[in-house]
Amino acid sequence: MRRLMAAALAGLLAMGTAAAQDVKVGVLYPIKTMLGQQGRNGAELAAQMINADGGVLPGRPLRLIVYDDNYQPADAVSAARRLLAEDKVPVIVGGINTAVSLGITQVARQSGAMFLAAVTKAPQVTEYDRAFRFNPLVSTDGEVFNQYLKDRIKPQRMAVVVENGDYGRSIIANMKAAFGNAVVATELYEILKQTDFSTLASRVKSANPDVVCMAFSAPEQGGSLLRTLAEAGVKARRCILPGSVTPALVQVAGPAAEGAFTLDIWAPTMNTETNRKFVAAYEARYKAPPGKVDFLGFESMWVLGQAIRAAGTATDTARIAATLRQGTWDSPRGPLKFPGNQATSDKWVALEVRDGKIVVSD
Amino acid sequence: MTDALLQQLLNGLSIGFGYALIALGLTLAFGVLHIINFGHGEVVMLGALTVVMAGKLGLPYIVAVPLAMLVGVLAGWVFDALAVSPLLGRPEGRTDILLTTFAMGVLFNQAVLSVWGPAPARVDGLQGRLELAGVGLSSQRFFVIAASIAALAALDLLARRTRFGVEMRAVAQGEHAARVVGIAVKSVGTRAFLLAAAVGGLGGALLAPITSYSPMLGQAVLIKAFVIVVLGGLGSAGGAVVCALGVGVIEAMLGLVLEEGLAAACVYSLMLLVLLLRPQGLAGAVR
Repeated sequence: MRRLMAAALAGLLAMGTAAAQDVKVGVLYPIKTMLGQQGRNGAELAAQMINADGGVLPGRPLRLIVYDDNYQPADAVSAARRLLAEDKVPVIVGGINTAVSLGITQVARQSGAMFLAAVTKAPQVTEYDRAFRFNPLVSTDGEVFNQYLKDRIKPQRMAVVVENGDYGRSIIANMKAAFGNAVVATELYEILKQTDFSTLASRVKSANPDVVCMAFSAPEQGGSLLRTLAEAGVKARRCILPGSVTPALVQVAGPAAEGAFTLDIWAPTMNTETNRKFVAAYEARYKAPPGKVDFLGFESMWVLGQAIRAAGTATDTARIAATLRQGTWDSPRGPLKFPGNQATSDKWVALEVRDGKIVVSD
Repeated sequence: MTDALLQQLLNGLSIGFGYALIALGLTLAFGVLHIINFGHGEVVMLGALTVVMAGKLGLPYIVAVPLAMLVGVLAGWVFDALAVSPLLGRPEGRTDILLTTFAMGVLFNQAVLSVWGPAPARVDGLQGRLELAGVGLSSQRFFVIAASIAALAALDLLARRTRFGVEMRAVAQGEHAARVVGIAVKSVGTRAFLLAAAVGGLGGALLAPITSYSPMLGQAVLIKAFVIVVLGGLGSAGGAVVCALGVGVIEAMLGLVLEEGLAAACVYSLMLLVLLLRPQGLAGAVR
């Protein structure tokens, strides 16, 4: 942690900014992991673009202070306390897993700070009126996705393959409720521990489904799963639940990802002006296409910049929160509103993997 | 139904041979040096990383496999020099080695994370699929089986027919007696450790196309390998191989009727039973 701070300090010195004028924002991600790195990349890119455009308040650029939450609520709480007490930031942005997000919400509530929950889907976050969630709830995902399946794909025999945990089991319950007897097989695999999917693939094959629905949080597992299904000769259409179709998945799965489809709030190929700017700047800076978490990391910081500008204050968090709730904001996924502190856009996109790329399928 | 059974038997064997290679490295180090290498999973991970890197450089997979063994040996050498050899002579050294090898494993893992990042990667391996009467297996899985059998045969030859092999078995049977008859126990131990690391690197290279590479790969494979080594009897190479195949096949067969998680729980229950009823392991007595 000390090295991290030293590195952050060195970075600041290198930038040679007038520190007193900066608007400091706290950023918490598990920065040693891939998803955490993506969230941070997105946030830093947004800050860079905001600052290139004159900062948030007249003559005052954003300055991010990034700490590691290590996916651990204890680490997150102490880092959040330090951000609020020592670094004196008014706003914390980040949080991937539920436990960490709830910890940050708690600390923010105690000192009246603002929290923009960039990636988590935890429903409890928005119980605090200065906390905002950017990713949709699992239940929202489910409603939108099931409707899409019913309208467009019309599955007759579905196999559901998900990780063994709260998230996976809730998906199975949801799918069974929505599709009843059309769900012919449900399979659970162990998160991160399972390295071989051949048995699972054989079982899916013997259930003879026309659609296989999958969800996974680790792209290496998702990739292996898709490859093993292809290897076993499963011909069913591959449907992947929102959030898991990422460049990393396509990279790991290779040709086995072809034709896999999903529905999501955003795609790198979405045709808005801000998205084109975001994707181009991301690729220029990181030499790779952005994924979903990069996008959420970017969006949360990008919207915060606009909200601070509109509220005309970087310290009055009640006013920033009220401004955010009332306005309509620019995001790569289109105009964004925050009813009940939940980021909401009108448009979901249907995505498909074609020729190794994630494209909008409509 | 027979098709499904046959298919699962094949799947189980290919998984089992993968387990065998990982378990063999562990059991070799235990058999000769009487140490448990908690960092062995990271050696496996480095083997997998080697074939990823070699693929990026345009080397064919077949060439990358021996390279992965070489990287395994290099990693094993670092492990031995820093975490094993210096502690072997101490009274409680072998207990401390549990911790030092664990620490080295964490160091290697963090080094990989900070240099190459946490991103997983695909390894293409051998392409194609061999099929007979509705039952089939990918070429890569057949290659895992064939290469494992070849490696096991080579190890067996080495142990029986070479001077090093005989010395290694002598040290395994009795370190003191081996020293009395003039065997350089320390050097034999080091070479056995490097051999174990080479097998670990090979295991990583063979499994990577099936599991995909990820820096977490080492931790994922290590636990199962430990179960197998305990089932087979610590230090028994034959026991480890037989149990690895057994666990692979049992898991696959149970998978036909149970959820995967339950199938895995059955294997762990088996380990508990073996430890309670036959603590020397299933093959412990025949060593």
